Order: sequence, then structure tokens, then C-alpha cells
Amino acid sequence: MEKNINNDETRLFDLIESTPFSELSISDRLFVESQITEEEFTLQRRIMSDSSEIFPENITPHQLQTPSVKNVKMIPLYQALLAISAIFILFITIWPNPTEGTQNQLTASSKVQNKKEFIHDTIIKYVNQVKIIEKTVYDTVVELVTATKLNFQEPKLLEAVQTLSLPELNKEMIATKGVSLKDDNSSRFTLKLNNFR
Amino acid sequence: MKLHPIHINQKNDEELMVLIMDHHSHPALIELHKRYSKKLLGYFIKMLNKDIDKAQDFVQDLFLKIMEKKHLFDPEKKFYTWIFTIANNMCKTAYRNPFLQRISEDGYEINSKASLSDNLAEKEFFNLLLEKSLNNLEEHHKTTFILRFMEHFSLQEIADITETSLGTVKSRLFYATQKMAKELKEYNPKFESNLFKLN
Repeated sequence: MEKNINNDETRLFDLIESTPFSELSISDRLFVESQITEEEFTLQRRIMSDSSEIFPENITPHQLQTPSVKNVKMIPLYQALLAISAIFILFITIWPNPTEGTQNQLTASSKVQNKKEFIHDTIIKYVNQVKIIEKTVYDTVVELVTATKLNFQEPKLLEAVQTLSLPELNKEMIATKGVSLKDDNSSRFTLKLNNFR
Repeated sequence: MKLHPIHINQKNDEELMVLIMDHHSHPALIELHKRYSKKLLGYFIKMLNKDIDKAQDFVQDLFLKIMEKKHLFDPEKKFYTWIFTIANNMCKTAYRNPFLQRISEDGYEINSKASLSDNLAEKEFFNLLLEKSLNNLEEHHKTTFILRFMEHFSLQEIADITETSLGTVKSRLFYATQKMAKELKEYNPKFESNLFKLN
């Protein structure tokens, strides 16, 4: 930080800048001599006055070179209107119709819905065809069992050829050839049930 | 927008700046360049250690900056104070560039030795030493000194340009002059003649 000069220094500086030493009043001269010598006073004054001569003053500055300014040309009003309308028509032509866009969008969304239903139907079909689906409802399984029964063929017995020849039954073969119990001698060994009544 | 040249010439600096601000007036900028380019070139030459080419570039850059930063101008204030504030800031930036400082110091040494060997007249010799002592000043002292004793600005204007107080300007001028006098003291012809007498 630069320190400010005091009042004496200010007065001295003002005197050096404004008045030659020879023209100083007596009081000013006494004051100056109390601060610096006459030579120093003269030297400082000369520094101030001669400094303007040390640099050349006759140098001409170059011409100003500014960036080129764009010339703004005015065009007739009809040209401006034509240009605007042409741009508008071009815009209308190129830009897609907003209504068509909505319809397309609706179609697309409905397609998505159909697809969802189709997936749902497919799931039901899979169930009927006894494809194994983990989340199959129990009722559906019962129905599937029925369907399975219908689909299964009845198991058939082996069709063996009759190889045994059986005799034909007749009266002789059926006729009783034994003796009755009352006539049989061995009947005496049988229990007489009538005795227990 | 095309403006009549007579109108441009009759307008003051601040009115021209308003034209630049409001209408991007190219003729107004050219008129300002016409009025201030020489003064600014001289200032830049002094500040940039006689590097005339660089000073010319600085003048160009300064007027381009005016176009770019025209919105920063306050029409209530003086134009030339504002333009020298920009110039001062450009020099400050240049002084921060070590490459520029090295070139100027080297260039100065060559000139000084060459001139000494040529036995220049007393006045030329004094001016040469004055230039040397000026270049040896610190940037803020040099700026203040040049604005006051070479560009002849008032103390208040210097305070505005350097964005400091009046007291600081006086202080800088006082110390700048003292430092230069200290360096020049041994080359004072009066002291020199005394030395010869003693010898």
C-alpha cells in the first residue's frame, strides 16, 4: 500500500510543478530550501517539463480496420410477403397432417390391444391341449382329465384263438348214475340230525 | 443507418458513443478514431518503451474493444477519461507479460550504450537518461507520470483513469519524480562540472 504524502510534500510538489526557483517568493524559497536544495528543485522541475520531449510525436496512427460491416439491403414488401408465404406452403407440404397422425396412433394402440388378447387366447388353447402350464386352474385340469379319457382308446383283450374242444352235453352225460343216500350203506356213518331236534 | 458526415463532425465524444451504442454507428467510431488515435498512439509508445508496432496494434485493439464493450460506457462521464482507462488497463495487462518486459529491458540497454558512445549533446543525453529513469519506474508510477506530464491530464482526470483517489495520484507523482531525480542526479551537468573541478 502506497503511503500518502504529507502537507509539506504536497506543497513542495505543487511549487516544483508550478513555479521556477527564481520566481519563488521568499517564504516559498525558504520552505523549499528547508526541504531540498536548489539543484534538486531545478532537476525535478526539468524532469517534469522535458519529459514531454523524449518521445516522438510525429508518428501517424494506422487507419482503423474494423471487421467488415454487413450491408443490410432493404427488399420490397411484396418480396418479403412472397417469401413468407412460400415458407408457409413448404411447411404445410412437408409437415405431416396432425389428424392422420392421431389416427395412425389409434390404430397402433388397437393393434397392441389385439395382440394382448391373442396372447390370452393362446394361453387358453394351451390349457385345452394339455400343455403343461404351471398356473393352470384346477377346474381346467379336471376338464382336461375328461378330455384325456375321451381321447384315450379302450384297452382291448388279446384275441386268443379257441384251442380247447369241449364235449357236447347230452342226456347220457347228464343222467344220474349213482345210488341214493338211503340206499347207500355208507350213510349209516353220517349224523342223524333228527335226533338233535 | 447512414448518418451524414457533417452531423458526425459536429457531435461531441459522448454523443458519438451514444450513436455507437444505439445504432452500432461505424462512422461515429471512425470519427472517434480520428480524434483520439494519435494521442493514444503516443501514450502507448511511451508506455510500451517505444515499441511503435505494438503501440499501433494497441490502438487498433482499443477501438475494437470500444465496439465490443460499448454497453459499459456511461454517457454521463467523459469519453476520453473512459478511453484512457481502457488504454491504461491494456498497458497493465501488457506489463504483466514477462516476455514484453524482457524485450523492453534488453532493447533499452542497447539504446543506452549506443547513445552513450556517440557523445550526444547535453539535452539529448539528458532526455535519454530521462527515458531510462522513466522506464525504470514501477508501472503505476510510470502511468501516472506519463498521464500528467506527457498527456497533460488534470489530477482528477488521472484519478478517474487510474481508478484511484486524488491523494494517491499526488503521492505517485511525488514519489515518481523523486525516484527519477535520484537516478538523474549524478548526471546533472551542474554536478558533473563540479566533479571535474574537484578532479
